[in-house]
Amino acid sequence: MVNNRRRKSNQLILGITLAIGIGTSCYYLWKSLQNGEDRKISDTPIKDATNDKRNKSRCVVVTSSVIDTMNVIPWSQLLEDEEDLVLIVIPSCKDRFHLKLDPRFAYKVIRCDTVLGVWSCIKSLKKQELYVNLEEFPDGERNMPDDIPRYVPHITYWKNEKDILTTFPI
Amino acid sequence: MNSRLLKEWTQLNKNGNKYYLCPIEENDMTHWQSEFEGPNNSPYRGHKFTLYLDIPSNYPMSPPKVRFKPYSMPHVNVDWKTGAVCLDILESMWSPIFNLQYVVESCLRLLTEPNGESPLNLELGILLRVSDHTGYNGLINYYLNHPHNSLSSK
Repeated sequence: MVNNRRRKSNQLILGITLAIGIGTSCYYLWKSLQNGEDRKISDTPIKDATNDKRNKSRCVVVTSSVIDTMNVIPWSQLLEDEEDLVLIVIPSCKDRFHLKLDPRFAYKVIRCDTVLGVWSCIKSLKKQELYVNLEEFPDGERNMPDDIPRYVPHITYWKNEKDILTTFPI
Repeated sequence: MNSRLLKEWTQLNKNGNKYYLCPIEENDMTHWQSEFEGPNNSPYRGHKFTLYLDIPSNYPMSPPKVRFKPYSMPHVNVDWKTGAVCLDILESMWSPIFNLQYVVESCLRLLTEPNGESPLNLELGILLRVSDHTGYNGLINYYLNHPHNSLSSK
């Protein structure tokens, strides 16, 4: 009887020990998998962000404040490095915006004689992102045509030089 | 086989075929192509183009169907996606006295004399209409030089 009880008690202790052991192992296994997952998740955005920058199609409208950043932002380098970046120069800036640009990439700068022409180029190019400071457009031509968002899904409205530096950090 | 086409082909070979106008396949006179360089006095200078001509069975009573290689010709009278050309002599102004070489020459002339009245490329049409020549040439230059344009789905 006593032996029987002792055997049962031993089995119970063994069972509890095994359960705790299995539980602990499972916990550590789960934890290590979780860490691996975390590492994968945190690696992905950095890689994608780099790819994004190279693959993103962007259109920048060159106005006075963009010209003011010429000594700070390496526009030539950006045009040469970024596969799909295009600069469209508004009429009042077309004679003031001069870059030392490899001739192979000169086509990425489009100068316009008219504001209507600027919008036509933007519509034709259909880039994913547009950066523009409408306040620096000529008087009476500061309204963006209503249909532009149909051609460019993401529009960033710059207000000043600081906004440009935020978009294109040095 | 269309005797008129045979005659044109013989003439082309005899007179020096400067637009490389020829049937695409030796035994099929219904599909032709021509290759030429962009004219000097145009934004197309320094670029080569291919023009395809599909000949209808009743040629020369009907005009050939003409198109550039898709996504290769940024022009106000050319559909960017299909390469279709809008030119009066290929429609209502067609005459059986015109031949394939004349058609090619007319398409080539269109590169220096775009017609803003009948645009197939709307944005280039606007640039032309508002006399934004810098923007017009700049946009054409962009499309001709952008490496992904031949695959573009714009």
